Amino acid sequence: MDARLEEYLDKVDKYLRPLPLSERVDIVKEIKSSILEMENERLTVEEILNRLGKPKELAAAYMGDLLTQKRGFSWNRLLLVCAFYGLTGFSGMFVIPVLGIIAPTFIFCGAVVPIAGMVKYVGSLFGYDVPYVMFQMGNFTLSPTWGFLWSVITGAMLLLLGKGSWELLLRYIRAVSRTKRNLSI
Amino acid sequence: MNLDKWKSQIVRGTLEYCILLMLSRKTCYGYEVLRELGMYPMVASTESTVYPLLRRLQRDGFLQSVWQDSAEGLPPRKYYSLTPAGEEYVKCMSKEWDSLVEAVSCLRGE
Repeated sequence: MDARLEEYLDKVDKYLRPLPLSERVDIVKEIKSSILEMENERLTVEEILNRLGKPKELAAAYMGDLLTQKRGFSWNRLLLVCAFYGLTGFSGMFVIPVLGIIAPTFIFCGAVVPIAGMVKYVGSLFGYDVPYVMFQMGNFTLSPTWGFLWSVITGAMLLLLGKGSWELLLRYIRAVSRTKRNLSI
Repeated sequence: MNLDKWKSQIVRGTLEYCILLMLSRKTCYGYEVLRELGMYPMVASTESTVYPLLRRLQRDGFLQSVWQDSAEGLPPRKYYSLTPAGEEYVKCMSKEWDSLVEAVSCLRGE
């Protein structure tokens, strides 16, 4: 193919830049195929270029209805984007810090409570009352044995709560990024 | 000239119908559509009108296309054919066309 024709195709491709790459490639391939057909019919380079017209105009013909289409719903889109950022901005201000703090705290406590219960229990087996650890419900203090059992149950519940908050946090972040991707301008 | 303007308006409105009619008879590649249109001076067109039109018709679901990569020195060709929705569309267009032709022939006193 003649260098002038190659150059012509490059220019068309450049003007088509607002379009997605896959579509651009397809358009240029089709124009190139037309050029090759014309060469087979023994048209001269000038005749071919003449028939195709200016690269900018040819590219514009492909984008004509694209531009009007975009203008058509840009207002709705703008509103949608504003609503999205407003909502995620506000909800994120509470959701992320709250869940971000309580999730690790719950998990940490869930691990510490049974350990403390075990320490107290083991200590009581050797007849030693470990200070700082006690299980009190109102005025009633649990014995180390019941306290240990209770600490295991409490620990498990705290772990579940922590894990649940963590899942919730991940889900929230995923939902936000998925929505953002779908909205991408 | 006024007549040219009028002619180009008619062609613009009719080209889509002509192309769909052509494709309802057989599958064609883009350049073939141009060549066949070229046989009728009234609707003869170039790449810059027909190719974007073909793309739009495809995007609207009336056409489907498939690339056939070069065989024995022939350039790669993109073949277009009608989808069922496209066939339905041509049928409706033909009905409208008939009533237009009828109206015109009545007005001409035929």
